[in-house]
Amino acid sequence: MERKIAISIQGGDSLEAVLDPRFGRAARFLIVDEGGSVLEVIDNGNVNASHGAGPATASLVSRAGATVVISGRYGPKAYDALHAFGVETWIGEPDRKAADLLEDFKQSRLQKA
Amino acid sequence: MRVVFASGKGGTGKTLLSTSLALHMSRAGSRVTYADADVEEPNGHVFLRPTNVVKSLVTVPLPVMVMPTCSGCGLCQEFCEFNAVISLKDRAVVFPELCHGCGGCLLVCPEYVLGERGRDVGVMTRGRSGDMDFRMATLHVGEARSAPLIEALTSSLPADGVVIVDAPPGTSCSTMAAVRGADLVVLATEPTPFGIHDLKLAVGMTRALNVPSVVVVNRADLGSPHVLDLLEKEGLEVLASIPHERAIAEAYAHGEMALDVSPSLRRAIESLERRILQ
Repeated sequence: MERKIAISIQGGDSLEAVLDPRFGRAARFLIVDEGGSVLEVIDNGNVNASHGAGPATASLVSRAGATVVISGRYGPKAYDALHAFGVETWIGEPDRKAADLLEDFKQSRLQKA
Repeated sequence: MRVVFASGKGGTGKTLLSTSLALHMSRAGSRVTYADADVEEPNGHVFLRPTNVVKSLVTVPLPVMVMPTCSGCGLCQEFCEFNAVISLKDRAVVFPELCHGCGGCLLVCPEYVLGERGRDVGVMTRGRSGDMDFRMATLHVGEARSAPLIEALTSSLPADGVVIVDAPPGTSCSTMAAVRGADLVVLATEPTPFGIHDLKLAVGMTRALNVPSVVVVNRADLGSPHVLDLLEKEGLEVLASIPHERAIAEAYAHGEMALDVSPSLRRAIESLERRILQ
């Protein structure tokens, strides 16, 4: 089965979008498959959550079926929650495009958080 | 009679005033309870030096799985306003530092798989200081929410006698937890822009909580003199002013009671006493 990959992005709805480096409070998520097709774009309702944005966002991407996340920084609670959901956490450099990050991920050039 | 010492800005004299009033009224024969609710950094004990100290742990309820698995229906997660519970396929995961202990997830769980255990959040200290009853609550380092601990302290205070509470600075939930239920709030301030800015917030808080407040101006001869006019324009009762005095600072820095070395502090405390007994 193809894995679904969630990439946190600042805006836009294509692989041209730029990474949002904060996982829990990322603006939106691009859900893509390993072939590079955009399956879904999810707005993150937890951007302005006063408490617990991390676990709530972890739940959001897990419910979307993602088993891999590419983002910048993960808070400790977001990290714990993602791993409890069985989701891998990878670190992308800020200011890079989703397309490049996906390619880096496939070439095993990204680091695990 | 419960008198709570609060302030917007920190370092304006809450502890100086509250410990001095407690000692003064205790010496004068009142039955006094002093309670330090500044739980992140309580320091009233430095001056009142309690003896016969007994400590106990304060806990808040924390949801835990009491059955090994669940169906992962997600109702607990959906219910939690604080995102403290996430629902996995076969279990619920709780983030203790986000949990407010409301017990709602237990109530909505259709399978009764959640129970509660106590989670330590701080220490309650009780003792005697002369003829005074001494209480203090100390928040565990790293604990984010202090209101439950402060509520545990204030709800244990006697209804009779003179109860003097040293509140945390600011106007946050923790300060409000200490101020709620006061018969009188004494707001300590200083005539600086910072002091006045935060005093206005503190006054707004006491009005929102519907508790009467009076102001004591500390280091009254420093900063801007027009501050006192401003207080009067706001309709605030300025009960006493204390000058910036070396004797007070020296005693305080040594953990000694400045009451016995500063006539101006004594006069301010006597004004407070008259207001309380009136």
